This record gives sequence, C-alpha cells and structure tokens, in this order.
Amino acid sequence: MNNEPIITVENVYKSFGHVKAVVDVSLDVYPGEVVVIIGPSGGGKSTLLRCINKLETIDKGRIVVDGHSITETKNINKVRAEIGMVFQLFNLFPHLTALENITLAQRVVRKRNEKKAKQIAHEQLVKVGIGDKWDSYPSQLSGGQQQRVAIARALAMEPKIMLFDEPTSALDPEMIKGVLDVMLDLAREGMTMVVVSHEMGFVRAAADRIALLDHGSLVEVTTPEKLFTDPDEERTREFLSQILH
Amino acid sequence: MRKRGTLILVTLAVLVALVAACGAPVTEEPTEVPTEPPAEEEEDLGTVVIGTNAEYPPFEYVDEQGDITGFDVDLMEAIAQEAGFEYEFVNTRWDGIFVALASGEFDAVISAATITEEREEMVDFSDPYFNAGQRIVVQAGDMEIEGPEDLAGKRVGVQLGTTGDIWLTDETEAEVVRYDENTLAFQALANGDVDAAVADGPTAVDIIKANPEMELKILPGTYTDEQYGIAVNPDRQDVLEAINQGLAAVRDSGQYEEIYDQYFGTE
Amino acid sequence: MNVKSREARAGRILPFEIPWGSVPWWAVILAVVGVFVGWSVLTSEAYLDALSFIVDGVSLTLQVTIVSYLIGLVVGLIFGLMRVSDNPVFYAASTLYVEVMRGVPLLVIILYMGFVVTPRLREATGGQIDLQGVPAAILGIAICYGAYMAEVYRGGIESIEHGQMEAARSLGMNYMQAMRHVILPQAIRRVLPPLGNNLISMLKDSSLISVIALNDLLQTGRLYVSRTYRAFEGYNSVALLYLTMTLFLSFVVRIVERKAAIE
Repeated sequence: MNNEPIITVENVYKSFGHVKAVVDVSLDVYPGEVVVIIGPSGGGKSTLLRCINKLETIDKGRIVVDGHSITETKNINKVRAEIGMVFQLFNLFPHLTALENITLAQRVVRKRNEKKAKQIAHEQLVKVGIGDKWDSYPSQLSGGQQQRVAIARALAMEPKIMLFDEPTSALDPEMIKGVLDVMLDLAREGMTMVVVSHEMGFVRAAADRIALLDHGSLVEVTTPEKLFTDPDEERTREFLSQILH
Repeated sequence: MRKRGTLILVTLAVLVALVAACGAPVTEEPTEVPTEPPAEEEEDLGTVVIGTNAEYPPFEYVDEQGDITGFDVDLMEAIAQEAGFEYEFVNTRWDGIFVALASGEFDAVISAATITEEREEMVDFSDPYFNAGQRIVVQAGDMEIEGPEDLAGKRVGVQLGTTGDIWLTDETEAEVVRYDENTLAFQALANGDVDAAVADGPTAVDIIKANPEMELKILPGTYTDEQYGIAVNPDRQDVLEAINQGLAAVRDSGQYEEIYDQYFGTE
Repeated sequence: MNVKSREARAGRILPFEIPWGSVPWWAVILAVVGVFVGWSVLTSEAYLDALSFIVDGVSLTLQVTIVSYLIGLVVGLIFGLMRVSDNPVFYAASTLYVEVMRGVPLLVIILYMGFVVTPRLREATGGQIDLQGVPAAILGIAICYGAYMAEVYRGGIESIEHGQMEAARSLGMNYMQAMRHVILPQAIRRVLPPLGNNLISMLKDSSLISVIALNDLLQTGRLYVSRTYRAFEGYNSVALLYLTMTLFLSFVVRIVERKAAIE
C-alpha cells in the first residue's frame, strides 16, 4: 500500500439551501483501501460520496482525486473516467442491452474500437457472474442482475477507484449476497473502494476502515475490529445498537 | 242674359273646383292610379334580410365604428325608404353567398355582385344598379403591360371567385394568382409578387387612393361590361318587385346621382 | 390442456376461435363506412367531377406538410435542447422564440412571411433570397411548429430520470455525448405520440397557405365551388381528401411508434 492518499477530502462543506448535508468533513483514502461510510439516514453519506466525482459541487474545502483537484480541474470528464460509480437504483440505460450498456462509454469516452469494447464487456459480465445475459435488456433482468451489469459497466472503464452508493439497498434480500460477493472479490483484488452501505457483513469482511457520518459531520473513523468491540464515540455505540439486531 | 249665364257657369266651375279639391275624401277614389297591382304598397314584406360581404370598399365595408357602410349600403337605404320596407344587413363571407341566398338564409344580397347567367340560374336579379368593368392595375413604372394581351404568361393577382377571376381565367392567358381579398392582391402587386392585378374599376380606384405609397397605376381600358344587380331569393317575388320599384324611384328623384358622386365623384 | 381444448372444441361451429377481444372494431366500422361512402361517391357523377378537379391540390398540400414537418423536427430539437441548457444566452433566445411563435396565430405568421418578410428579404438581398410562394409557406409553418415541437422535446428530455444523466456523466461522458447516446434516444421514443399528433395537425393547418394564393387542396376546392356553385360536392370532397390523408398519416405514425417501442 502506497503512502500517498489517492483521495483527499479536506474540510468539505456542502449545503442544499438551509439544509447542511456535509459539515467540515476530512478523510483520506489510500490506494487499495476499502473505506465504508456508515451512519443514520440523511446523515450526508451519499452526498459526500457524490462530491468525490463532482455529481455534487462542494461549497467549501478541497477534494483531490488521483492528483486532480475536483473543484479546479478543467476536464472533469477525464477525471470521472478514472472513478467508477455504482448507484442504488442501478441507472442502467434501458434502451440498450447489457452488453451495449457496457460498451457505450468504452467507445465514446475511452475511444476503444467496437471489437475490443465488446471483448472487455463480455469479460466483465462473466466476472460478475452473468456472462449469458449479455443480450438482455435491463427490463428483462432481476434487480440483482441489473446491479451486477452496472458494476461491470463501471469496471469496464478500468477505473482507479470505485464508489458504491448503497448498492444493495434496493435489492430483494435473496439477491443481496450475489452483489456483495462481487464487491468482495473486487476488494480482494486490490481495488480502491469507497462504499456507502448498511451491510455489516460486508463491513466485517471487506472494510479496511469505517467512517461514521451523522448529520453531516464525521463522528468517528475506525477499524472493523474496533467498531464492533469498542468504539470511541457514544454516537457510534448508539448507531450500532440501532442497526445490529 | 249673357252676364247671368256667365255668372252661373263661373259659380258652377268654382263649385266643381271646390268639390274636386276636397274630392278625395268625399268620392273615396285614390288620386293616383297605380301601375302595379294594388296589393304592392299595402303588403308587409316583413324585415328583409339582406346579406352582404362587407369587405369590398367602397361598395360595402366596415368603418372605424364597426358599422357596415358604403355605396351599396346607402343605395339600399334609399331604395328601402322609397319602397317602404324594413330591412337589416348581415355581414357574411363571399364564398357561397348565392348558395346561402337560394337556400333562404337571406331574402336579398347586395354586394357589388355582377349579373351573370350562371348566377341567374340560382337567384333572381333586380334591374342593374351600377356598371363596373374589370380594370387592370400595374406598378406605376411598368411600361410593358398595356392591355389584356400583354398579360399572357404574366402572374396576375385577383380575388378568388370574383368576375375578375373568371374573366382572367377564361379570356386571357395570364397565370392567375388567387387571393382571399383584393387588398392582398394589390399588396402582392406592390411587393412585386405579381406583375398585375385585376379588380372592378371602383374598387381598384379606391385601393389605389388609399395606398399612395404602393405607386400603382390603373390602365384606362374597361374590359367587361358588368352590371351589378341586387340578388333576390327566387321565392320572394314581393321583395324583388319592391326593390325594383324603389330603385326606379331613387334614380328618378336624383338621389342616385347624389350617392354616386359621394363615392365616385373624384374620379 | 389437451383434454380441455377438445371439450371446448366440441360445442363450436367453426374449427377455430374468433378472438373477439382483439378485433380492432373502430377500424372495422371505419372500413365499412368507408366502403359505403366510397361506393356512393364513385357512382355519383357530380362527386367524380368535383374530386377529379380538387385532387390536384393534394400534391402541394402533401409537399408542404412533409417538408415543413422535417424542418420543424430539426428546428424543434435545436431549440428544445437550448431550452434545457444551462447557458443563459441559449435559454433566453429559445424561450423568446417559443413564446413569440406560440403566441402568434399561424395564419398571421404565414401572412407575415408572405407579405412582409418575403418582399423585405428580396429587397435587402437584391433578389438573391426570394421566398416567394411555397418557400415562404414552408418556412412559416416550420418556424411556428418548431416552437411547439421544442416544448415537446423539452418535456421528453425532462421526463428522463436524473439518474440516467448521472450515470452517463459518472462514466466520463460530456454533456453532448450523454444527450446523444443516453438521454435523447429515450426522450425521443417517449415523445413520438405528440410528435405524431403534430404531423396530423400540420397537415390540416397547411390549408392556411391558401391565404398567400397557393394552390393547395383547400384553395383548389374553393376554386371549384366558386366556378360551379356546387358547395356540397366541393367541400365534401375537400373534407374527404383531408380525412383520407390524415387517416393514412395516423396509420404511419402508429407503425413508427410500435417499431420504436420494440427496440
């Protein structure tokens, strides 16, 4: 593991009108790390994640990703190509097949030719476990399958970082494991991941560090062992007692 | 003896004259012998509904106050007064006006309508009340067009369905360009979209006078002999007779001259 | 399954089942009425006379409608994109265009194109740009309808969930790429019905071009009536011809919608 963080979040503030979503948050993420952000709903977790690839613009502070300042860079598209994102509601393109979903950005952004893009797409689909569904449209796939296509779509761009925004929250219980397994494999391969999730099983298995965000502020940043045995902050204990049953 | 005879004769003459003077109520004979059947003046025509397309100055148009006015309107007013009937005007489209008249929607139509055989198959016409011929209008600087022969192959604007339209189509080799209104046809001429425009003489004069900046001139010739008549629903012979009677009276009394001068006097 | 159908077949007269539910009754009724009308028209000399004269106007009506529609589709798309743009200049210009063109009646726009814009443009360019006649009509209709279509496109684009744009942008696509590959393909499919309606209304609105003395279907009909005084046959023929064209276009629109949905 490198000593230089690949993501630097420094004193970031973000409000929506009167609502303060992110208040003075600082966090570093190192290459190959898996950082999971947990916390009560409305606590600003998704907002923070979305600030990293500039889907939300911050009001104050600094965010640096892979050496590029998110607020100042002239070419955000180039930076975004290095950051893969998986959404809670999948956001697959309904008018394209699974394969086409995955080849589109490869061709248009990475400028790969059709053949290469398709080859990589097939590989990724196999990797996430649904190689035979390449020809299906999103409407023909289950939620779990759609999310796996979404992960493959992001991975096909060969990004340096993967962001996950509550990837299993919209799935039926029996499909959650399938998706988490894919994410686990990814973590084991050394992908830098920032994950917003409630899935404590995943946290235990994959997280290198855990950040607790509540009402926009960073309450505690700790390791899995410490989190489950002896957290520092009272609010952390409170939160854990609510979600572990 | 002669003096007495003369005196008696004179007295008798005076008596007879006196009697004759108050003769009407005493003898109960009408002083005038009517040339028409007696029922004519006594019969009530009801309110005569008269259709007109008030988009054709100076014959009929709507003025700034929103009232229907014009030569035909003033003439009809005079006729109705002479013939003694009530009437009301209805402003309507030109397209199908004779069809509407024949079907009874109106009792009469006065709308600068030329008397034609085709139209006479559907409706009756009064005696002619105005002679207007088609005239050609061109741009003031035009040296080429002097008569109908020169219209061959040229674009000529006219109001759709009018006598001018029919004359151009049947009697000339012009490319006929049909507009909804005369004013549009003349505007097109001023803009150079057509090479000439054709309309009834009085209308042409009126439009040219109203738009001096268009710089148009009206050629001297009149190309059709067109009599305007008041069209009447064939089922209303009573209205037809009243109108003809009134028209004759208006002419005789000099009212016609007055109205004519008012609208066309400056020409 | 087999036993059931054998039993069912036992009481039936015909060897197959008539799918009463899926018969397009409206089309059947229309076809029957159409045959009846067609028969009475074609056996009537007055109608044949009227139709054979008036049908000449159909070609100009179709020409003007189709060309105006194609131009309108493009103009509408451009201004629709400007209407959803962040750029204040684009937004202001397109909003101005939409408000003005939707606020002025099409008849007035056509009169304006024919009697004001055409001569001025001709003067100003020394005769180089002469819109006289059909071009003025086509431009008038296209510019007017473009405004309505711009709003249709805008509605379609705005109806696409934000998540689609976010996913496209997070993959590194720029705004135009996202529009072209992700948003517009979906938006356009959604607005095919209203765009199809626009085509049908445009066909009927094309009758307004008669006001600048163009020989379209309506003008030809009016000419016929003014010569023969046969208003009934004349205007019935005009109506019949417009109806035939709109029914045909409706049918085409339906097929396009269906094809787009399958994809």
